[in-house]
Amino acid sequence: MRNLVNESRLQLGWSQQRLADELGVSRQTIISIERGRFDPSLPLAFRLAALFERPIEELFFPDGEPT
Amino acid sequence: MTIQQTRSKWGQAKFGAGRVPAMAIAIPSGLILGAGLGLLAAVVGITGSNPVLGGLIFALFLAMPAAALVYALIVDRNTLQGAAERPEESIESRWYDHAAAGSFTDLILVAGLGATILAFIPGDFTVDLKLGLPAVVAVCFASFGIRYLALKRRG
Repeated sequence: MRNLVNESRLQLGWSQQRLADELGVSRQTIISIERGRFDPSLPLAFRLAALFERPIEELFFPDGEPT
Repeated sequence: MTIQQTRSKWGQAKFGAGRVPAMAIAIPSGLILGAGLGLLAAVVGITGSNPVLGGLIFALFLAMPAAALVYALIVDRNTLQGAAERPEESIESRWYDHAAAGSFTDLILVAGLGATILAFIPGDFTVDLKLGLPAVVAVCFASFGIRYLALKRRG
């Protein structure tokens, strides 16, 4: 699964730690999500989408699908 | 007072209606448990020729793990500095689950291989449980630790 978490976070000007604190997860979790090595749980994905104020399908998409 | 304001390096534990530093309960409890187990070791006669010295050694070596166990059981992780509010959704939780599952598989493999090898040893060959069980625990610890570190390094 690929995602636009890194781009969305940078648009807000947030650090990885700030995003981790907002979501209640570890900074390592944000690092792994941004690198595409960790697919978040559905509740976490929805919280990310709500935080970035964009639909979840604009934030996460399957491998091979154009961004 | 909010939880955020009461966070500390070692955290706190619920005690009656309020909270106290977790270590203030864990350390005395560990010392008491260690002393109790040291006394038990001396009473049941597993300490060798000098029960007092043997009991003291037992108590010394068991007090710290007992304190650590009590601490792990009583600490409220919401009062620990840097602890994630939703650890179950963090990647560390996934590393833990994967490492534990892999460690369980390793344990079955090692136990199965060990049992097979023992079955082919002729004559009366017994394995002392006092050595066998700690060996099983050591295998589990090693397997889990190596797997967890490998997952962490991979990110």
